[in-house]
Amino acid sequence: MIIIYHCFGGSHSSVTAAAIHLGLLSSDRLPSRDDIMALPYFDKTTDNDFGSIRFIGFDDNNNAVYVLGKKSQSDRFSNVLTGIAELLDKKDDLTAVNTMGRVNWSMKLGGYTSRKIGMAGLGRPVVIQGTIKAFWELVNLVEMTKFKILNRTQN
Amino acid sequence: MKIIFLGTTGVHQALVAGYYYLGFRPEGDCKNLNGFADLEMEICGFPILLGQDQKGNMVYALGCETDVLMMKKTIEQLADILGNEPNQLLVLPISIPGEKMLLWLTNIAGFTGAGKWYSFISRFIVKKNLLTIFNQVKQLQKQFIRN
Repeated sequence: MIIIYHCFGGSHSSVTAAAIHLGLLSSDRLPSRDDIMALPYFDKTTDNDFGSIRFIGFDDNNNAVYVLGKKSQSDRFSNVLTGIAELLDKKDDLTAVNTMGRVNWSMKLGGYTSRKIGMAGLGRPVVIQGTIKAFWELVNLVEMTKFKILNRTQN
Repeated sequence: MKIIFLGTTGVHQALVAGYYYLGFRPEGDCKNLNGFADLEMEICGFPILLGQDQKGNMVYALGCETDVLMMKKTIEQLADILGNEPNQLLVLPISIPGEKMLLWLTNIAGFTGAGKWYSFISRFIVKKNLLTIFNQVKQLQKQFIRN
């Protein structure tokens, strides 16, 4: 199965969720600034990365985990991806997870300043602080995703 | 093969283009086109099946909101990742002036409900751009035959 975590830029919340999923970040303690900055793609994407499905790694059950930046696409985006998988007869092979519901204002403001305006020195500390603040909510989202996948594979 | 006509919304220009490709001509302000300005279909986000062409290809319309070319890239990559055989999926972007307006109207209608105004303005904008849509489909058909 492939799992796609998607958010606005594919740079912060989706990358963090994918890292938690893969165990790159421990899900039982808050990460440090350095832990977060060491993540692949964290706060490093460019405009060309919008719409690109980027591979992060395989989880313990050999599911491939990806991240995706979707710009301002609404909540229906997961359905769009699932719909495409369905018409390719691969519906059961895809789980799309929207991480935008876990994004706080610090992440939005810091992410915009760092990625859109290009002032990483100013925006990065703010987005990292926001990511640490949102960490337990992202852990919760990942746990729910893993549970859903387990349910699906057992049925 | 699956053919997806992609627009900012799936129930306006993309749907008309798909039906035109299948040989249906819009009559009476697109009233004869099943699914035209159907808000429920649009909001759910799934590709809308329009029919099958003469070669047996399934034809769909899909709305992708703000950035059509970005979504085309995503869909093609997703098909690759899912192990889809090359040339089994064709994504054809359709663009018209006023497509952003159609998207805004659809977003507003999502909150207020789609009244007659939604259908009326949708028909007005699409009708004004029918030739643009038809020309794009013809162009794509030529490319399709060449490849």
